[in-house]
Amino acid sequence: MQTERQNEMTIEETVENPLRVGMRSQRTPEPNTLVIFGASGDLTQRKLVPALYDLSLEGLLPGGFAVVGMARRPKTNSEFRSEMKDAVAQHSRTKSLQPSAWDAFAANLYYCQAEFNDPGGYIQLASMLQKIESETGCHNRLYYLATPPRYYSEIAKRLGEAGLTRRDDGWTRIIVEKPFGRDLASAAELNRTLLSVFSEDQVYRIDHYLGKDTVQNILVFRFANGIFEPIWNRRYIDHVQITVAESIGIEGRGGYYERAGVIRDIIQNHALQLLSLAAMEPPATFEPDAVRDEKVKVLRAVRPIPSEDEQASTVRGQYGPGVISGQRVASYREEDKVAAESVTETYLALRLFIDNWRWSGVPFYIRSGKRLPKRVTEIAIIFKQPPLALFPTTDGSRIEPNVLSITIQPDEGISLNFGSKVPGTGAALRIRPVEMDFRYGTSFGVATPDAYERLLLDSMLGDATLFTRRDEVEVAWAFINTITESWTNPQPPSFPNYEAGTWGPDEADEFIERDGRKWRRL
Amino acid sequence: MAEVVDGMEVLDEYRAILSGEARRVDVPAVESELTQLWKAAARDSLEGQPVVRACVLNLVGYAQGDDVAQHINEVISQVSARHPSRSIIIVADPGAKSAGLRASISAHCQIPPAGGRQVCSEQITLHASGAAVDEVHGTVLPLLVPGLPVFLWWHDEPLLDNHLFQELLDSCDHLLIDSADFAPERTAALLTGLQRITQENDITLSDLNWSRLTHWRELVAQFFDASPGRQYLDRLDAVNVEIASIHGKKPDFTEGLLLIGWLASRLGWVLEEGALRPRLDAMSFKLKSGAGPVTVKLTPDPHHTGEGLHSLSLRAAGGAIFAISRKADDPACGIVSAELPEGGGYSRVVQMDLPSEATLLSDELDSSGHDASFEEALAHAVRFMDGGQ
Ligand SMILES: NC(=O)c1ccc[n+]([C@@H]2O[C@H](COP(=O)([O-])OP(=O)(O)OC[C@H]3O[C@@H](n4cnc5c(N)ncnc54)[C@H](OP(=O)(O)O)[C@@H]3O)[C@@H](O)[C@H]2O)c1
Repeated sequence: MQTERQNEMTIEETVENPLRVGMRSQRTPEPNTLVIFGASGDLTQRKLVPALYDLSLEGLLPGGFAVVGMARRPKTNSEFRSEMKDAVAQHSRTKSLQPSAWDAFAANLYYCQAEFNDPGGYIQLASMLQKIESETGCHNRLYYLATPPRYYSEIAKRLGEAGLTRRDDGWTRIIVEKPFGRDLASAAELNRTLLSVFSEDQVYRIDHYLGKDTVQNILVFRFANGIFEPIWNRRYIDHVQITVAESIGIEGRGGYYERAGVIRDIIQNHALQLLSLAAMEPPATFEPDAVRDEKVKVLRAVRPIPSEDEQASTVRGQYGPGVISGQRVASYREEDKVAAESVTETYLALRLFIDNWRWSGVPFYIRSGKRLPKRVTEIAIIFKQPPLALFPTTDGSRIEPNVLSITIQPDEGISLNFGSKVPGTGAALRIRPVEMDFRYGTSFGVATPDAYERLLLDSMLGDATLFTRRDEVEVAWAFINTITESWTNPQPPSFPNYEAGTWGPDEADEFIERDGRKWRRL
Repeated sequence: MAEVVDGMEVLDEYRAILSGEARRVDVPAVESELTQLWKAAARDSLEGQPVVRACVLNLVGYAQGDDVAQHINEVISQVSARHPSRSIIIVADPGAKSAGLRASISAHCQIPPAGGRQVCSEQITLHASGAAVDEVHGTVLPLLVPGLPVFLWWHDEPLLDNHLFQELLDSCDHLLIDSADFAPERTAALLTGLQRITQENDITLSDLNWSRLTHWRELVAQFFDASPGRQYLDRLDAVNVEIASIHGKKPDFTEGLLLIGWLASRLGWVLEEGALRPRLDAMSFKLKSGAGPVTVKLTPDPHHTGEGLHSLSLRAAGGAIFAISRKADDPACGIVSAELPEGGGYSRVVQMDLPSEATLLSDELDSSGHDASFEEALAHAVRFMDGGQ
């Protein structure tokens, strides 16, 4: 998505750099140093460093770009480089590692060993940055918190104490990974800490879903095509279904998941982001703040779920053992670092309403879970039936409603179902749903860059459109709080209540069927 | 093709076409045969072999000789994954004594990486010989899918006064050529003529040779996106371009001249009168910028064989040097470096694959309108070739 701000930038930058006139990419980031806190972690190895290498291979990183990795275990620069080399060889989007490109990239990787709570570590970091910057002549810094979340505040405070949060001769930004808090109070507290040393425009809260092309395409699709906007409202739409299904389990992250559950892991961030993109009003411009203002307005208009409504509005589930793709898998409670009597939900279905003119009375059904039959993320808009059943079907059933579905994973695309007459001259008119299908992968057969590449580049360029703003996070948590608070009720559901490899508990089907609707079969 | 679509044999025939085989058909029946093909495919879809026909543009290709036609066919097959189209390939043999016209249909199908339906593009190949070549546009025009843009890909040196070329030009929106295929001595005249004709007819002219420069231009622009590099942009005083040489062939300076034409158009450099000194094996000339003279040199590099540009270096007053050079031992990688007198230089390695013809074509098919940067760069490049006449 080309933002208005980027457009403005383009004009400014064009004046700055006349060679950019008419070029597809309008600028590269200024030289900068990326400091990754948690540089030996899983995220760094699987996502961050491979994304950086791929960006550098494509020539999208500036000359004078360096990475400093910080973590606890002792390691030399060359040990760090060799670990990262293995990680890139395994996870880079480009198939084989190009030795000369790797060597040039690796020459700018450095390691800083320190405990996050040790002020000495930050002094050491400052001197490393100074040394690197004396060579590049640039003082732009990007911090990336790829650490367990309990360190976010600690690191921010220590950076502040060490005077590393601001410079007059360059920009300083900080990227914060998810989860951002575990409830409204902790998120607000984290925001307060961050904003005591950084200003809001320095803070980039990541939700890697937003880096995906299709998520951005939702906006382009809605607002660049004149035919959808007029019917995108309560008059024509019966209800909306948002599904974020995963077939994987918790992948050894039991400790984290026990405290998070699907509501914090997926619903609070990814699912509510999809909701706000699908439901938002057109922004006045595509400037980061204009887009985020509209997203926040949607979240503010979501009707809180009062505890007496909890039963009617949500269904929780937890998987038992089962079979996925022919493989037997264990139950959640049997996973490593999970309590034998755990009441953490691995599935959640919920129904919510957005109280505004556009959506009043239209239910939004959201479901997400682990160990479902397949990995699929989609937003489906189910349109109302025509008021009059003009075409009787042979078996007396109603014609299927029109459905517009926007798939985000695994293959990104949009499809529209509509009824069409089955050709033939028989007496009975036969109408069958036909699917018109558009897949990005096939129509524009380009490998879409990884979400982290996009987000890293945007943060270096100072474009915060795809990052979550302070108020956005807090409004999302405020809504989630209404649900989790009602869960402290004495009667937790009897878990496990769905078999791994199925579409969740039976109660979830009954829940939507009570409203006379059905989950989409995916 | 027979009407009995229920017969197994017929279904097999359609499947053969969908898997890439060409099938000869009567010229007037091309459209109806294609309709039959997609009907059969739809029937097949019901039986579990889902196929989607997709078309976002018309691509008319012109080639002389079967070898070139075969090559075009392969390129289009690769391009169709990204740009599903109706392609119409004219295979011309104007020298043949007798006039003749044959048609065949084929399809390019791809299964998306994530699985699911096959997405298919359709291709019509028209073999025209003798006098029929001049009239083949009469067959092409009714076959164009209405409402979609028409790209004419002339895979040869166009003959500007050729009847067929002019007729096809009348019904297209974009003309695609590759000036790397032109004989060096004719390049200037051809490009000038093409620029004039396309402007008169409001057609977008695209040169694959310009697309080859996309990555080079991006890398050059990056030097000057921010300080400290930016301050040197207005003080450039020398440009050196090395061209990889192809053994036994005259060096082709067109791509290099387009790159310099682009710099000149963006930075307001003009040719100093009488300063052009073209020689057979190298070219050097002087331009004038706001800050003073700019010396330009293009030399074939005998040590580097292959295609396209090998290196570029830009020098600025004060001693800053910005350079991009393919690595000698690994030409798919390039070294991008900046040396600045005040320090803060750098060197990095980036991927610099030579883009395939399919990639270049695909990039051009992405474009939807005039590319003013190209047009201005071309106008300058042609002036350098002409010696400022
Ligand atoms: N992994 C993913 O795919 C993923 C996806 C989305 C979001 N996230 C988020 O990203 C963050 C990082 O996740 P992760 O999976 O990469 O975590 P991880 O594998 O547990 O890595 C943690 C890193 O932090 C370092 N560390 C921990 N305690 C430290 C201390 N006291 N002092 C210095 N270094 C310390 C570790 O260094 P040593 O190795 O030296 O101990 C390690 O480098 C988390 O907030 C997670 O929620 C991860």
